[in-house]
Amino acid sequence: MIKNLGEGKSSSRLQSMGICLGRKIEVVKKGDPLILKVYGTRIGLSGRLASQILVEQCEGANRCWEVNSKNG
Amino acid sequence: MDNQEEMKVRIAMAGNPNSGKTTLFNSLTGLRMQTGNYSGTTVTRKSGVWSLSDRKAELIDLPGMYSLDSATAEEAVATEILYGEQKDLPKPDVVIAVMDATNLERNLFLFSQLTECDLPMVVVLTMMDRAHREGIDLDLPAMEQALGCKVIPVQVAKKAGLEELQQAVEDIFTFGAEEYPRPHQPSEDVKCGVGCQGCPFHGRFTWSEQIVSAVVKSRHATPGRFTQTLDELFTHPVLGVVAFLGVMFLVFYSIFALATVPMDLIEGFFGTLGEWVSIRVPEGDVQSFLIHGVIGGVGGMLVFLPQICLLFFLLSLLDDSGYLSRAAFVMDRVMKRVGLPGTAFVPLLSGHACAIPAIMSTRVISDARDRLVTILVLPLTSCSARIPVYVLMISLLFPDRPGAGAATLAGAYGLGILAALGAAFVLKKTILPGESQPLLLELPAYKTPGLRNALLLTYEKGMIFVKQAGTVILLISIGIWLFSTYPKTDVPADTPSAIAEKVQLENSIAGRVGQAIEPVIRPLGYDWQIGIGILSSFAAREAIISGLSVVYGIGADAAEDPGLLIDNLRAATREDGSPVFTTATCMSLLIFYVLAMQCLPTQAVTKAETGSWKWAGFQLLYMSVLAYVAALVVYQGLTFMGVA
Repeated sequence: MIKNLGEGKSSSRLQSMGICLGRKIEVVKKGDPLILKVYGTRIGLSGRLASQILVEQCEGANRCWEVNSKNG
Repeated sequence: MDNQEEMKVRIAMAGNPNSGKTTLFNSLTGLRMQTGNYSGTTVTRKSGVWSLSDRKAELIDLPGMYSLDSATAEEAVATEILYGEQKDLPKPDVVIAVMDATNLERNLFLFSQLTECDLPMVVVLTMMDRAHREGIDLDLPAMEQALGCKVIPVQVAKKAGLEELQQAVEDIFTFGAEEYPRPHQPSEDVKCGVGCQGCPFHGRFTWSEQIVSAVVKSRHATPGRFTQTLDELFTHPVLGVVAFLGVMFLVFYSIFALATVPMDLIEGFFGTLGEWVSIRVPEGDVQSFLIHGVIGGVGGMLVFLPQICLLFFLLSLLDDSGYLSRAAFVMDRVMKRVGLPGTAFVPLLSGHACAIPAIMSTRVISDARDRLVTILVLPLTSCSARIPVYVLMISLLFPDRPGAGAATLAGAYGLGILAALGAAFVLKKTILPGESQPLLLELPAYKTPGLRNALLLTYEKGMIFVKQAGTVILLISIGIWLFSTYPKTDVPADTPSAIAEKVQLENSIAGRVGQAIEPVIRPLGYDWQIGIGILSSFAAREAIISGLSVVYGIGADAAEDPGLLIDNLRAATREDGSPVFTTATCMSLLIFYVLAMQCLPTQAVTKAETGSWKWAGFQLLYMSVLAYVAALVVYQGLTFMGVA
């Protein structure tokens, strides 16, 4: 994940659950709501929140999350 | 709190939701716990006594949290406690940080914030059985060195690690909690403190990952295959809803099937108690007060205790298994259309058994406004206490047409659900505006639910209910007894008891109010006698049956014979000889009872859960107005169409 475009408490909560800058996120189930997997844990979230998350696709098994950003 | 003098030390347990914190808390404290609310909030406060070898400690089970950033009311309260800012609650002496060993990265994020509270800490690793299955091999000495505190793996079911935990905590007090070395704090770069321009979450998670890389020696199994398979079904947009309805059907079937026997026993007990009083205490006001005011009032409430206990027991098992969060996930799509989160669906459905535990179970809804809306609309769902009234009205409407009766019964339930969803929509558009909180919840791995946790939660909820029955409800039922008993009316000694009861009720304060409101209820098709029945059922809706039995001169005891009661009501006529219970009147009454707020125990629970009589009063008002208008429309509409 490279950026969280949201603000406020929901955004804070997302980030403290591990959906924050530099983490590897797996989309387990598409749709609205959808299921993500972060650090082996499944997280269900609404499409509205998911639309605030900017991600970059990983290439193979390489660590792809060393992206510089000042905004989180 | 017992032994207040002895409990000079306080230990707070902090951890992520689903980290096994409550299981550990229950194991350490058992039944020696107290629950309530934190000052000025509806966040549950749970603490208990933990007996250490040389002292007793107050163990505080902090609400589950992901961070100390106060993103939720629970996190805000937990943070205040840890920093000693919570009113009437001194700063704890020690923190036990509970961490899921299978998800150390995220749990260490919270740990990194806890280290800043300047308190001695002990880390407890839970879910060790799953960690072993996933092949997670931890270097505990390296972890202790990296974190700067004791790290103790615990398996509550096997009682493994509990003695070590107790020893570690006792060592802190023996050394002196004030002087005991604090855990290592991450560097200022990681914490992203003053002057930092980066992302504080990123820094802490990177630190967590570095610790995990250093302490996890191996991890071979791919986690979550079992969970993945079950989630294919339980989170499916269609199959997931079908599965959810099936699970809830089984829950309600179990409640109705299993609660009958203990409910009959409780009813029998209070009946016997009433008979015992009637023999021991001379006939008169004191006897009536004891039997109808005290025993009837408290017994009428406690009869719901088995349903309440069963509902919480089963919901606790479902929650502990990991299923309930899937139910919230699949129902979110439906519920958000009326402005409620998916988590509101289970309480709304539970309301069909009894609104009281359902309102108590709304604590699963994290957003305060969503929770309030759910509490306010919940009593519109048809609880089991409405069934006798529905059956009576349907028997009067369709005596020989079981098909029409069944369709009407289903319609009454459907109307309750539609009214609840519609009221939620209107409330969110008017006095409680705002979108529901977007869904964001952890879907924990499925596991076998803990029986001990479920039993303790059932005990806790049951005790809350019993305390209410003994206080608020007792006072209210005494008040109602006074209004229906005074002023006294003298009747000739040879008057049959059924007629004497009728005359007394007619002349009581309740009876006079019933007659005074006749102009208001006449447009609904009701006369003053039905008015008395309705007023008498505001404490508990099923009371209309005995109320009608009395005002139509059959006697309260006749309410136990449905056939006799129905025949008498059908034969009842007005002064002009026309029947009282016409199709229009029965339909109007049925609609009124679907929508009206007539349950004082529910009102008391609404007050307790919202923290204010204001919302309980609003609930009574809007539901009464809704019931009145709907009954008016139905009666006038049917009369206009010539359906007498």
